[in-house]
Amino acid sequence: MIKRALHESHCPQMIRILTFTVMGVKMGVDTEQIGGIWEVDEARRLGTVIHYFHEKIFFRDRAAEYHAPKAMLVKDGDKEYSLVIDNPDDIIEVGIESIQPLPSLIALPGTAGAFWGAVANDQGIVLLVDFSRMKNGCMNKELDAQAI
Amino acid sequence: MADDTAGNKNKSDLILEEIMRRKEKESVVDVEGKKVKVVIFSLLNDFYAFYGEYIKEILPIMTIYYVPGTPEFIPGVINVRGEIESVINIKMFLGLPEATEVLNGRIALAVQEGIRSGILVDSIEDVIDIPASSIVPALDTLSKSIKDFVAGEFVHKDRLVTILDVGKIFGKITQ
Repeated sequence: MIKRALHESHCPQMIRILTFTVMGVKMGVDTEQIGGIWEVDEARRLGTVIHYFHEKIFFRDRAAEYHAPKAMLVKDGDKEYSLVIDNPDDIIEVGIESIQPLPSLIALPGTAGAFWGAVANDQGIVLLVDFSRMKNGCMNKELDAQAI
Repeated sequence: MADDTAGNKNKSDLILEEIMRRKEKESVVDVEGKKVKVVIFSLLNDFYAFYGEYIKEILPIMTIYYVPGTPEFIPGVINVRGEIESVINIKMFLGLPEATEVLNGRIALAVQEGIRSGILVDSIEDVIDIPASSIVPALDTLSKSIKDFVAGEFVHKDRLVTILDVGKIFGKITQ
């Protein structure tokens, strides 16, 4: 009973997601991982390390395009850096029952490692990204090389 | 009388033998008649099939949502009535060229050993039951990129149909 209560207290029933788009792919991130959003020039002026999203996650042969770039301050443990995304869209509350794990062929170790789930809605599919899983940058380039 | 009895016995023996022979024949016929369901589909101009027991649904082509970081032969995920499923481009997986135009493309939703995925095919040609005995080992002339995933082949409407093994395909991706 006590164990169950502890478990329940550690698992939130809702999370707040900031949705955004990078190169046509709709994604969402837990707002707890973000310290703020501002213009890229402003992030440069503040002197934070800046990474573009496509430098962190391999988009295969898609050309890097940002139509309305914004710098997101990412809080990753005791480190902070700015991550440039495109088109920050909305902040939505999502019940954990609406979150689906990725299909097993997508969720293989080293495949879409930074993505941990997805939410399907009327507008399509929002991939949930965890910035703390992006530490290895474009490790997924190796995967295509392994393909048949 | 003794001869008659012996004759009767012989007759019953003969009858029993005939019955046993017929039963044996029936069982042989049963083996020959064992059917398996196959889903025949096309890739480019060739016919392939999956065993029907592993295909849960045939879906129309729908929006495929790209997932960054996945291998090239996985174009993304689809939303099937609220369930998110991966999609395999089987031509790319097998090293076949892309068709210039696919008019009747479909997604075969395959399930084996707990792994589910949609598989893109150029068209679904037929879903039929065939005698298990009609399936023969594949020709050695198949290209190496395909041979590893072949379960056998059979002839349907004068065309050779190569059976692809869903389990071997999933196994290669997950290894």
